[in-house]
Formats: sequence, C-alpha cells, structure tokens
Amino acid sequence: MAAHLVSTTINGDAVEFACPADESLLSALRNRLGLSGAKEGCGTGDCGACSVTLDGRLVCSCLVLGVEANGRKITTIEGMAENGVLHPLQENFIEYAALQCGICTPGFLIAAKVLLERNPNPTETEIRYALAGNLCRCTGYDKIVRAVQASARELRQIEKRKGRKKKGKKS
Amino acid sequence: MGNDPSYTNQKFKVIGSRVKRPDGIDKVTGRAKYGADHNAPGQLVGLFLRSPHAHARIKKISTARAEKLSGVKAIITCDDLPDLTNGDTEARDILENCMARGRALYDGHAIAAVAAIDEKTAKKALQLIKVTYEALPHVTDVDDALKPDAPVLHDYIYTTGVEPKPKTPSNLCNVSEFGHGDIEAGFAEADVIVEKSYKTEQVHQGYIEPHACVASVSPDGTGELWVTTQGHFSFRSVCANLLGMDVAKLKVTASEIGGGFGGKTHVWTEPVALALSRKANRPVKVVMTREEVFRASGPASSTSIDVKIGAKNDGTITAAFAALRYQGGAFPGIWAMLGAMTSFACYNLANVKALGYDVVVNRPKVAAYRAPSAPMAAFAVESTMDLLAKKLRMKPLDFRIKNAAKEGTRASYGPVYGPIGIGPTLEAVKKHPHMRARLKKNQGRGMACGFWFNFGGQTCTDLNIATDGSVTLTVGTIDVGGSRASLSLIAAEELGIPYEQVRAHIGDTGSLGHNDMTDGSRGTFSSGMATIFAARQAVEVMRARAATMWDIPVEDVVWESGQAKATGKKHRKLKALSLADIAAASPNTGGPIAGHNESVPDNAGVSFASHICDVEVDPETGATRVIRYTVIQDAGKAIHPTYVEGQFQGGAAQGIGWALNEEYIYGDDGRLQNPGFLDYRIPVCSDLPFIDTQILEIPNPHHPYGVRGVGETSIVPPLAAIGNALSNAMGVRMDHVPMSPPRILKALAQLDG
Amino acid sequence: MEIEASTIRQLLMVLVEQYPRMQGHLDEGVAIAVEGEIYRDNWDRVIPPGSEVFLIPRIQGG
Repeated sequence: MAAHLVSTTINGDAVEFACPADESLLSALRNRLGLSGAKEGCGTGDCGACSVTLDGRLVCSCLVLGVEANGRKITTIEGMAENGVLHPLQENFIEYAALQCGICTPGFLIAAKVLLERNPNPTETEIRYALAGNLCRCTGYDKIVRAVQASARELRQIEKRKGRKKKGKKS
Repeated sequence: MGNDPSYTNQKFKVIGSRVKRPDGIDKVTGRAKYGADHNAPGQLVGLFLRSPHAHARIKKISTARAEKLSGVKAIITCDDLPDLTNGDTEARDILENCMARGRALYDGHAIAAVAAIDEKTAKKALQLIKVTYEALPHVTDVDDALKPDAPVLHDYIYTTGVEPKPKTPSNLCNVSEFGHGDIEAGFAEADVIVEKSYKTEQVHQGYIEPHACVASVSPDGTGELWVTTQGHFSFRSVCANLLGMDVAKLKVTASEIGGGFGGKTHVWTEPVALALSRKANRPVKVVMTREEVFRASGPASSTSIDVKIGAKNDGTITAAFAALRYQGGAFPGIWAMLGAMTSFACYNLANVKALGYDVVVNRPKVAAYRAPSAPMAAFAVESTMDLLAKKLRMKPLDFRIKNAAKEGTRASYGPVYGPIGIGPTLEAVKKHPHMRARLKKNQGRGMACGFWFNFGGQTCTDLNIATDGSVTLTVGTIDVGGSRASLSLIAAEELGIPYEQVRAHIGDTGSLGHNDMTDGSRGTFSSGMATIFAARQAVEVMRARAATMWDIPVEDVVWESGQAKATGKKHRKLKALSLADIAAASPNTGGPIAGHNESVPDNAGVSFASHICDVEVDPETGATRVIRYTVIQDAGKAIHPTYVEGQFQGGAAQGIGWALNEEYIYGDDGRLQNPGFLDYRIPVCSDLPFIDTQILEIPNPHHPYGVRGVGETSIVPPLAAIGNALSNAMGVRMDHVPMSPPRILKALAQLDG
Repeated sequence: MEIEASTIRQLLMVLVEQYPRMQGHLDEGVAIAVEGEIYRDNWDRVIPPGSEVFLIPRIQGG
C-alpha cells in the first residue's frame, strides 16, 4: 500500500509524515513521530490509554487513522505542560498519587482536561462518567477522581483571577 | 544499629510523610519509558502464531513458504529451542509454555514465531506458516478434569501427596494437606454445622500494559533484554537457562512497568524474542496484543471449593474443613496448595483441615495474581462464616471477633503467630462509622476478612554519595507503585538529609547482584531493609572520613541528625561536619563514599485485613453496585501512607471486579470467547465509589521500622464481603463468582419460586 | 520430631542426613516457618531453643 503524505498540527507544531492508509494515528504518533506518551493497552478503543484530542475532541488514537490527521489539530500528553510548567491536572495527579504504575495516566490526563474545558465544575458522578472510557487497574480510581476535583477547583480560581485582572484593566 | 532487623520503635523525621514520587513528572508528561516504548537500531518485529485449538497434536509445521517471503529474517519453532532444562521440570514447563512441543495444550499456545522487517511482513509470514493439527479431546473445567472419563493432559502426571501412589496418570497433580487437631471429633462437638460448595471463575490480572520486550543477542553470545517485568534478575536467569547463555552475559533492563499484579513474574514471549534475535542476528521487538495477553499470559485459577464449619451455640468454632480444587492451566502449579494454606489463616481453630487439589486443564498456564489463590478460598470460607453466624443468631462481626487468631494462635498452615492484626482490624470495623450508616431498600452490608503471608527474599542495594552531597540509591526491585519514593524516604531518614536530596533508581542486572522479584508484597519491605543497612554502612564510612578530616580517632565521632560531631571536651572547637561537607572532601579522604547491602530480609510480616462493603441490587436487572467500601488493614508501619492507601484501594477495586464482573468464558470448543476489555469487563471509574481506607500499624518485630508487606492482602476479602452484602440485601446466598447479573437474577427467581 | 540444630541451615542438613528423601523436597524449594514467620532463603536464621519449625513448600506471591 502506498504511503500518504499527511500535514497536521501536533501540540501546536506543524508536522508532516507519511503513512499507509491503514495505519492508526496511534501507530504513527508512536512509531513515526517518537511521541510514545500515548499507549496501546488494547488496540480496540476499550482502555483509553491512547487518548489524544483531534480538533479538541477526545478520541482513542488507536481507532483513528493516521491519514485522518491531515489538516487537523492534534494534542497529545507531550503537549500538556506549557513552557515547562505542568498543567494543574499533571501537578495534582502527582500530589494526590493518582497514579501507581502510570501507564494509563497520559490517557486520563487528556480525558480529564477535555472534561474540565467543557465543564469547569463537574460533580463526582460527572467526573466518573467522563473518565469511564479510561481503564486504570492500580488505583481503584479514588485518587484519580480526587485529583480531578482538586484541579477543577484550582482552574476555577485561576479563571476567577484572570477575570478580575481583565476587569481591573478595563476600569 | 548494624544489620539488626529488630524493631526499635524509633522516632521518625521523614518516614510517614506524603512526598511526591521521583518518577511522577516523567509519568504525567509521557516521558516515562514502558516496555513498548523502547526501540533498538535495526530492530525487527516479532509476532507469534498461536493455536486455535484447546488441545491438539501438532503433526507438522511447514515454514518453507514463510521463510521465502522477502523481509522475513527468522522463524522459530520448538525445533529451534532444544530442551536444555536437564531434569528441571519447572523450567521444562516454562519452555513448553513459551513454545508448544508437539502438542498445543490450550487456545493461544504459541506454535511458531516470526521476526520480519515490519509488522505487515511478519503478519503475512504467519499466514504462510502451515500447521497440521490433529484435534484431541479437551477439558477446561476444574471439576470436569477430575472425572474418571476426562481427557488426560499429560501422561507423566501421577498424583503426588496421596497413598497409595496412583498407577495411572491423571489431571490431579498433587494433593496437599494443612491443619491440626481432629476435625471428626471437632464436628461431633459442634451444635451447628454449615456445609456449602462454591465455584469461582478464572480472572486475569488485567494490567493495562501488555507484555513487551526488545531482545538483542550478538554473535559472541552476549545479549540484552529490555522488558516490562516484576523481576529482571529472575527473567535473566530463566531466559539464560532456557537458551544456554551465561547468566552474566545477558543484561536485562527493566522498563517502567505498566501494572503486573503477579502476571509479570513469569516469562512468556521473552525467551522466544531472544531466540529470534539470535537467529536473525538483529534486535527483535515483541509486543503482545491484548487478545494475546488474555489467551496466552497467566491468569489466576478458576476453582471449586467445599467448606464445612461447625460451632458451639456460644459461637466457638469446633472444627473447620475445606477441600479446594484449583486449576493451574495446562501445567502443574501450587495454586490449590496456596488456597489451602490461606483458607483458615484468620481464625483460632482447635481442629482444622484444608485439602488442596492442584489440577491441570486446557487453559493458559496460571500465574500469580495478587495474594495468589487466597481470594477464592476466602470467598468460600468467609461466606460460610456468615451462614454459620446467621444460624447461631450472632452478628457476623462478633462471630469473627470471637474466633479471630491472635498472638500465640497456631495458624491453620502450621506455625504459631507472633503479633498480628486480625483482631485489631475487626475491632476497628466495630468502631467504624460505616457500620452504623443507614441502608435503603435493596441495599445490604457485608464484611469479610483476608490474609496474606508476605515475603522477603534476596536483595542487593547500593547507596552512593556524590561530592555535592546528593545521594543515588540503586535498588534491584521493580517499582510497581511508588517504591522509589518510599525507599528515598528511608535513605533520607537514615542519613538525616532532606528527601529531595536522594534519587532512587532501579539498577539493571549489570549494576547490582541478584534481587528476587517484586512479588509477595516485598518491594518496600526488602529493599527498604537493604536501604537502611546500606545507609548505615555509608554513615560508618562518613564517621571515619570525618575523623580523618579532623585527625582524631573515629571513636570520638558520632553521627547525629545528618552530621558528624566530635565528642568530648578536647574536640569542642571542632564544628560539626554535614554530609555535604564530608562528601565534598571525599576525593582526598579516601575516594567515593558508598554503602552497600546484600541480604535476605525474610520475615515480611503476615498481613490481615477486614473490609466493609455496602451494595445496592437492581432486582429488575440483577445488576449490583458497590455504594460504599471501607478497607482496614495492618501495614506494620506506613512509610508513605498515600501509596499504602493506594495499594488498599487498588486491591479492593480488583476484588470488586472479580466479585461482580470478571470471568474467562470458554466455549464448548475450548476456546476463550472474551479475550478483550470489551467483553472481559474490569471496573471503570463510574462503577466504583470512593474507597475509604484505615491504616493500622502493628509493628512487624522483624523490621527496624516495623514495616510489613502491604500490596496484596486487600484483594482477598472483597469477593466474600460483596457476597455477604448481597445476601443481606436480597436474601440470596451467591455461591458462584462472578456474581454477575444473570446469576443474581437466577438466584432471585429461585428465591421467589 | 525433635532435631538439634541452631540455624535453619543446620536443621536442613540434619534432616537430609536422617531422611535422604528430603533432598527432593529441598531441590523443589522449601520455605521454613520459625515462630510464625516464613523464611525462604535466610538459612542463617537462628532457631531459638525449643522452637517449633515448619517446613512448607516454597510459595510465591503476586
């Protein structure tokens, strides 16, 4: 099968790669682009370890074709910390011990970030259902949910401060 | 001081604090390298051809067409893996499990393997390999395998542990017996006796990271293996032995591990990956698919268990008996024996007998799964305990308290206990507010106890102090859940320096002596003990160096709060030297400062837990939800309490999945029907509540800090705790795990009928 | 049975002397329980006088 040239944006950078039409985005990320933060836990979309966003939408990259990335924007775990500063979710996953082995962590972080962007103040139940597509076998999810709750609180405070600053500037 | 492991009840500065783990940032940024994240220059892709039959004679394997395919660099069958095991039956079984030898023994058994330039070529090559099978009768159920007309898997298995020695082979490998007293007399004394049989289905550890490795063997006979494992030293020995390599010439580097729970204590594809590399003369990467993980790694046993317990009207147990049948897959195991040993370990029994029947069936070779074999036995025993309590009109908790083992009790598996935590966990249950919370309609509360031995084992640890005063701690036990943080805390405590000044690493097999695996809840216990002794040795070196720097006798130097101090009036002008001061001077005082320890810290302290569980059952669908869960367990001493809680919660969640959902489903054809996470459903976030924990600290007398192993016990009580809660919610006694909706509906229908 | 031995190693040596068939079990791997604690490899463990010692099969964990 001939390879297709794919032009895409990954974590804000313009990237080009060539891949056959039947290759998954996960495989392209891991094996062609050196972005091995997304993991293959099942290859069938059941475990969420390969979660990335495609134009802001949460997807299992094992169920997306590499060629589908053409002209789209992808974010992976490698793009979550900005300028060397960890995202509050990343900080809190460490602080709350929301990871033990850590293999599911990149997927959980991506899924949790998408949740908090859409719903800055989720209930415990909303968090649990939003993360139900990601499997963790080590933690029993307890500390993951607590880390997401803490991050939501922090992010809301950051937004509040930003809001106040904006108001301050206007007056 | 020195290498005395006795508990000293010392006051701690940093032990018990909830510091951030050193590998945290790598794991939240995607930088941590797991098994499948490593690549070697020029590596090939290795894939396996697996048996579609539960049991078949392999008449012919024709690889000629596949070999001719462009891009195929090596093909391996059992012919490429000569039997070098020299009478070691355990090694021979491992070899045969890694690659079938004349017979396929289960659905998924490896038949051949290919290394090719890419996945596509390797897949094509697998299709070109022609295998001629002659299907043989198979058996997958543990009880069926013991029937007289069952197909016999191996002609060399003659049941051991029975008299007279059988004259014909069978699927019953061994019968083990544990206990003491006279159970017949004990049952004769009983006012009430309950007898019941139970079944539990096969489950998988379900680690999210599939097995993965990169193997590289050079023409000079040296090799390297990058692999996700719970024990890289053990993998090295096993692989080297099977392949006829010198152990020291194979370097094994452990990747970060994406979950193991016992399943990564055994080799599956690794020896074959090395053989492929040796034949192709190039590195070979092998990554199992999820389907392969389910079909061809090592799940836990399915079981069939009979329990009989008798008691007097005052609640004193007079006799207890269990017959436990566990299948070990296609090869002999010790799983029923472990079940028999653990079954009654929580109780103080005058007359007790447990018989373990280890059975082979046409299923994958069973591996350890967190407190292996204990959860099934606990399900049967703890369910029966509740039934008996009900007959005695006693509260199940009080019945357990009355019969709980304590210091001086003879354990059902033989020895006499030292200070143990079963009584205190039960008392903590009694005091816990969870026990007084109101329940609604269709809800019920249950509790159950669990036991696990905990192991120590061979350990080798290095501690090196850099000239700037920072400390490198190199250990040989895999970090499965944060042990690098706990071990750094221990080094910091001993040296009197901040936690942040210590960096812990997992050394490869070239950098340390042999370390046993991270199994048996031994990681923080064993490497922790070795770290204490290594640090104390380094302190002795630093005392001597300080003496050199001051030019005074070493006897005049003491070590306090991370500083060398000169004692006595004549030295009072000498200002204390910090670890950093001594380290900075080390090039001129004798060179690098280090501490080492090689030891066998056995005695990881037996561990007990009591769990409380509330469930709600939907009578329409039979679906059960755990709505509240509390784990109370003895940790001896929690080095890093957050990670101890994490172990409690994780084990409980695995037990909940086992209790309610998880199950290997085999068809009549002996093939596994649900080898994927969609149909083998492990608990997801929305299935579970927060899991409350209470850490008890009853010091282990055989560890300077009192540490006990903590990793495994929490998976033991949930099956029974949920079964007991279900019984209290709906009035049905579930005797078959998983207690899935169809089974619950059936039980409810029988209740109505 | 009663055996004179001060360490696990001595105990095992005496056992094999008296019961040569024990060697097979030792080769398969044993663990030794002294005062309730299980020892797999630490054969230097001192056995206090009057202790009860149990030989059990070498077991593995997860």
